[in-house]
Amino acid sequence: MIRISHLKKEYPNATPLKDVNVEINKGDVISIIGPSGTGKSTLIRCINRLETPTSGEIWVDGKCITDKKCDLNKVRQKMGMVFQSFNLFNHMNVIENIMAAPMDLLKKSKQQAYDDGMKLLRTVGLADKAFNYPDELSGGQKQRVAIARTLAMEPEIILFDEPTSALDPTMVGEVQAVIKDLAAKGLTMMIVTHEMRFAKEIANRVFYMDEGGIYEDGTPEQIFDNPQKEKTARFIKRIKVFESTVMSKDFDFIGFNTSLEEFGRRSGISQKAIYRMQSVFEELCVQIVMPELTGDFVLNVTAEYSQENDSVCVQMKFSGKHFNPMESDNILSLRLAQNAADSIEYSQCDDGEYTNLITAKIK
Amino acid sequence: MNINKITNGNELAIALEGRLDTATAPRLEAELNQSIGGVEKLVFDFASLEYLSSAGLRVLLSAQKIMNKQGKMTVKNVNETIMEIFEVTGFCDVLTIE
Amino acid sequence: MKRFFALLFSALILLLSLCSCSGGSESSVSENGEKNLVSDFEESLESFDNATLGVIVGSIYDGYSRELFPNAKIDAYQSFPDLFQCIKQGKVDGFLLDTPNYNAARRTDKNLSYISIPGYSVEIGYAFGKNENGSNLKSQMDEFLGALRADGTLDAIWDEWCGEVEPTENIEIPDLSANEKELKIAFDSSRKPFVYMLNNQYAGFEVEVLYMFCEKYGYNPKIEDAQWTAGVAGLKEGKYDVVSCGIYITEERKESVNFCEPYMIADIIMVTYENSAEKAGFFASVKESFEKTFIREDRWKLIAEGVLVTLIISFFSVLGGTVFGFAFYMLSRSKYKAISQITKKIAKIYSVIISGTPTLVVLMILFYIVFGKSDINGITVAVIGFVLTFGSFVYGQLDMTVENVDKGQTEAAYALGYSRNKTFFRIVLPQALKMFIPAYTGEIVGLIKATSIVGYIAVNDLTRMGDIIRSNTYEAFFPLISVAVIYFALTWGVAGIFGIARKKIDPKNRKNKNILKGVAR
Repeated sequence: MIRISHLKKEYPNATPLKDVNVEINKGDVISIIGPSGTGKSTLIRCINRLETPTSGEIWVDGKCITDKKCDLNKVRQKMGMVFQSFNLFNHMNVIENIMAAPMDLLKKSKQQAYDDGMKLLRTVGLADKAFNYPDELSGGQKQRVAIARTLAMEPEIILFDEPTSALDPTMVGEVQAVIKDLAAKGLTMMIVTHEMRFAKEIANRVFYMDEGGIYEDGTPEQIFDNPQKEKTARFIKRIKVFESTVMSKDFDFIGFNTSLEEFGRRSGISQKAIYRMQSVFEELCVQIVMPELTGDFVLNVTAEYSQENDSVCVQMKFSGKHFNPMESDNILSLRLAQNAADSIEYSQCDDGEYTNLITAKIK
Repeated sequence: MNINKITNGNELAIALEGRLDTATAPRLEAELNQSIGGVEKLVFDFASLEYLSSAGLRVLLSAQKIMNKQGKMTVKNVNETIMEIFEVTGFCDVLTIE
Repeated sequence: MKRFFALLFSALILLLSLCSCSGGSESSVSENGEKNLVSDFEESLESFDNATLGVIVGSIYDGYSRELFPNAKIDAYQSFPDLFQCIKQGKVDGFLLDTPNYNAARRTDKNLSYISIPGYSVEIGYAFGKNENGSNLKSQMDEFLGALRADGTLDAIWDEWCGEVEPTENIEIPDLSANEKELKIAFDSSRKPFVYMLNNQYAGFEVEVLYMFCEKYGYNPKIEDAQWTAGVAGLKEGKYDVVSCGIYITEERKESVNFCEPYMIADIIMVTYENSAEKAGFFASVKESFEKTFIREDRWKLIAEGVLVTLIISFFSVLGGTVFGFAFYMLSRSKYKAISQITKKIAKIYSVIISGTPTLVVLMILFYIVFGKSDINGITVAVIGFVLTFGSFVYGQLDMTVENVDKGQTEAAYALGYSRNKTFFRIVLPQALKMFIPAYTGEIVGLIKATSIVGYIAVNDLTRMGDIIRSNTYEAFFPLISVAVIYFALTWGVAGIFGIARKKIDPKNRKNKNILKGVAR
């Protein structure tokens, strides 16, 4: 359905896309992942020509859309795009946003546009907000309206540019649910996202983008569980593993908790489990171990999520004299830590500076 | 964490929003030190409390001790996770939970 | 609430002005008779050594006053009616003036007196262009005046217009349209008793003499009303053949215009004022001022004419400026990079120049330089000038408000398949207009007020009409305040209309049933 040939996009300071060649088939649901600045958004924005390729060709349904003579507007009407910042039309209410394009561009009658629009609003669960204005809606609601707006044009492919990145964690789920629904209906989609669990669940194909192009292209199982190429493997590992080192009692506690939370969200861990991880860290490391540490010390925390067991393994290792936190007098903190973890094990170790090791398993 | 205080004569209602942990507990402690004098009824509303650690529990304990002499303290709108914490630590016997 | 305060405010202003109005009235007569005959001029003028004297900015009186009274304080004003107002209010103790001007003023206020200043006089005449045509006219006029002087006609006409009695009959204006030769005359109708409006017709010493001149020498007079500075400037460009405004002949002026031999050499006197014992009642003077300004001689017609001119200039300037600015803006949005880039560069330079130049200067450049030689109407020039400035504003404001509409919505529209133009008109412009309209309204109000300067380019707008009435009645403030109130009413009306329009345009003010007209729910 879409064929991309030697696509290159060059900017004065960077060339995010050097040489992209790929074919996208009807019905594909493609997750596009990768580190920042690797051209993920650029790729889909080239497909609907919001960015103009420096060189190369893109064929959509047999038409060459990189050709100057191509009727861009007609091509775009068959493609939909959902933006990170929603981009609803602020001077129109919700139902008008959805009716606008079909009426103006497809020449649908007002009645027809209204009926179809309301139907779409119902599928995304926002029929009662039809007469509200965008600034009266929450982020999640805005994005769902945006999705309904693109659906109103009956596109053949929908491009999603980080659809949930600007959303509060509590609203990410409702939008992902709508997108999953569309995938189930067989719509062709390309989704740029940082939400790894979502990326894995929804797609039949994953692009890992790096080095100016599609570095690796495979099924979700291949990319996430069995990456073939080096950089892919490193990326996957990084998002699956959390690591942080603390060297002073005045470390950024709040920052630490925030990164731990981000790691948890990326891996799709439940909020409860995230709290448990944080509790284990706070009670064992901050409340029990740190008061015992004197002078210079190092404390390293790693957390790894295993999809098979659906559990997180948190390892805490620290330097200094041997000390088993499980034998601490601080019953209160111990109880809380034990409540949070399925199992906590302590052992002495000989790992560089680290002399103590705690392993906790959390469901 | 947001601390919302409402004073009504000698009654003090405190609603907590967010996390009560090592970083935020000192703030609650300071607030209580400032306002607890002369209070006969202290009510904590935990409806928007997301996370509670040992640091928070300690502040609650000292407040309970003070109120035991001055009047009464209750904790209300406790969610499942927080309730579990109270049970596991035995705080459900120390605090009056509604 | 706002309306109440607005009304209160205008009522207050009127009240304040009437307080200063009631300072002088006609209904009392000085007991010492009309003139203050002084035998020893040095003795009485001594009292002016340390007084405050009024002069017209940069006039010969400025020089003479400093010469005669080196220790006096000299305050400069813009026109004779101003000086008369000031002496009434005691702002100045006296001022030098020629006798014809004095006589005309004294008819309406017997509290005016004078002290002779022997040895000082002014020459008054007509001004012609410093070119061949002007020289010819000067010769003809000198000949004509000589003849009138010889048979005593000149003196008779002089006594009629410049004496102590107010003339009541208009000049019988002859029909000279059959004459082939045109004489382009610039009358400054604020120069009583030489040129002024009587019963809404031109009257005065110079007017009568000039009509007689045209009849004798076979000219067809083409008259334009122009403030004397505009008139003199027009002489150079050949816009006018003769400027008639009771102009003083000075050596300096001779360098740029041709004067005829003076038709009169008038004495200079020191004008003084004595507040009489009786003062008319407050309401009586209000009534009288109103009557003088509007009713007498149907002067309200002049005001109405002025309002019409102001409205015409404002309307067409706004219309033209909006179209011009909008069209230029759309050009800058052209999808052809070359066009849009050039347009933007031009617009930037243009707006810097326009916003750095006072509108009055722009108008004068247009009137005297760009269109100097052409026969173009002053109103047209005014409209062109304001279109240039207003258009620049419209362009800049559109640019700014459109920039403020976030780009994401434009991208979303493109992604849906909207063309550039459709996106602009359907998505961007409606949102930009919301921010645009308040500033637009403010600028229109500013423009209406700014039109008050067109008097300088020979257009009789509301302000100039107020000045003309002021110089004919010697009342300064009632005409001014009424003009101010009228401007206020105009701008208030405009602001009100746009305020309503703004509410109607706001998308959130639409009713749901109107949005979905024709749709079954």
